[in-house]
Amino acid sequence: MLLRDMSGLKAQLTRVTRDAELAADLLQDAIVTALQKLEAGEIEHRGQLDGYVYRVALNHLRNHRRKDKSAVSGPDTLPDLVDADSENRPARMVEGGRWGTVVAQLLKEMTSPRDREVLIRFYLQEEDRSALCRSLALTDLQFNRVIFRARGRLRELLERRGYGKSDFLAIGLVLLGA
Amino acid sequence: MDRKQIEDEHIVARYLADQLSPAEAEAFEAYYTQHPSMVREIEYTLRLKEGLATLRDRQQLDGLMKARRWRWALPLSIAAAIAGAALGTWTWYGTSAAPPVAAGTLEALLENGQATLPLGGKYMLVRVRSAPSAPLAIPLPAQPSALELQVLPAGGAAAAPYRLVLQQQPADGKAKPVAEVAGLVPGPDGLVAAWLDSERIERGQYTVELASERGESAAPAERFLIELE
Repeated sequence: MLLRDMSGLKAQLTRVTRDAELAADLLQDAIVTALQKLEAGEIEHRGQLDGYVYRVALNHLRNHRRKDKSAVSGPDTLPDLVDADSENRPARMVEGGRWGTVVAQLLKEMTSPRDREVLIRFYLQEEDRSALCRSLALTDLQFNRVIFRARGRLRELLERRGYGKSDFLAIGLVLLGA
Repeated sequence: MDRKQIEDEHIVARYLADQLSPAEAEAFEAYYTQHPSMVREIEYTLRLKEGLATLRDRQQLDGLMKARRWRWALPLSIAAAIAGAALGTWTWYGTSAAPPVAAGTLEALLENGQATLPLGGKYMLVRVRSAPSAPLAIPLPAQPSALELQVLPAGGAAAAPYRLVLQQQPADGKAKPVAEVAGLVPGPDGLVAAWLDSERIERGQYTVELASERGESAAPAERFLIELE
């Protein structure tokens, strides 16, 4: 069975739950649930299996965020979201490290400090888009331009490093690790 | 819900941040379960978030935020540029209107209204202990592209910032300066990077010299030979 490499999903589950085993269980539950739906005919074709896995897993993620007030987005609370046990999770550290390197390159290539601030406040601190635009005196068009360019460049960087091509290769690891 | 709405309203990021209404979230879930390509967008966004969080955990985010210049640095840099021109110390060895041959960021190559510049290749220059070896062959792409040069400086971050000088080495042996990029700082991976514009550089042999702006006492200059072909 081919499923997408869900390492970004798994990493975020681990970060929010602060428990790698729990994150793996949640991901496994999502995969099993999706497979059951496929067997029951509730999923039209196998190509949609990924979407169902993400749907179930991201709902788990959302529920954990809501339960754990400290995981609620915000510039004041997010710095506390350090995974205390991260040193015991080499696989996650390697993946996170790779993406950290890619994102660092992305940030370095953004010549405008304001654009970097937009990216960090929108994606990491999860600030509301309208409030962020007001705060930085940005129009919607300017905001969109920053985000679209950054996303396009990120996609290019990830794919140049093979993360796009390997999307379907690492699923064995996901399944074994789950 | 359709793809245009998803892009225009940044639905993926807002969905992951739990900022959508229940109806919006349900509509988006219905969309991406039917459209596998959107799942990749979600996965990439999750990796972006994880990458940012990793940098924050490593306390590297503030440094990257301030990597270029402070808000008040622009007037200073303009003044420095004017002073530099008065002293005849040009960063680029060409006409004042000529766009850069090399730059410390990819975006800096996109000046003068240029919209995009694809990456044509990434090359890491590595020190070797042996006698001068063959130059690193770098094929110039058929289409205008950016070529990324990476160097792991011996002096590390402690000797930053670095200056990269590119000199053409013609057959007659008289080196010709082509470009100079100052203010280079190693990234989190320890590498100093600079980008060349393939359209603005000729084929031939070049030396790439990376030196600490703090002088030889901080770190010895390192020289590499490349051949653009």
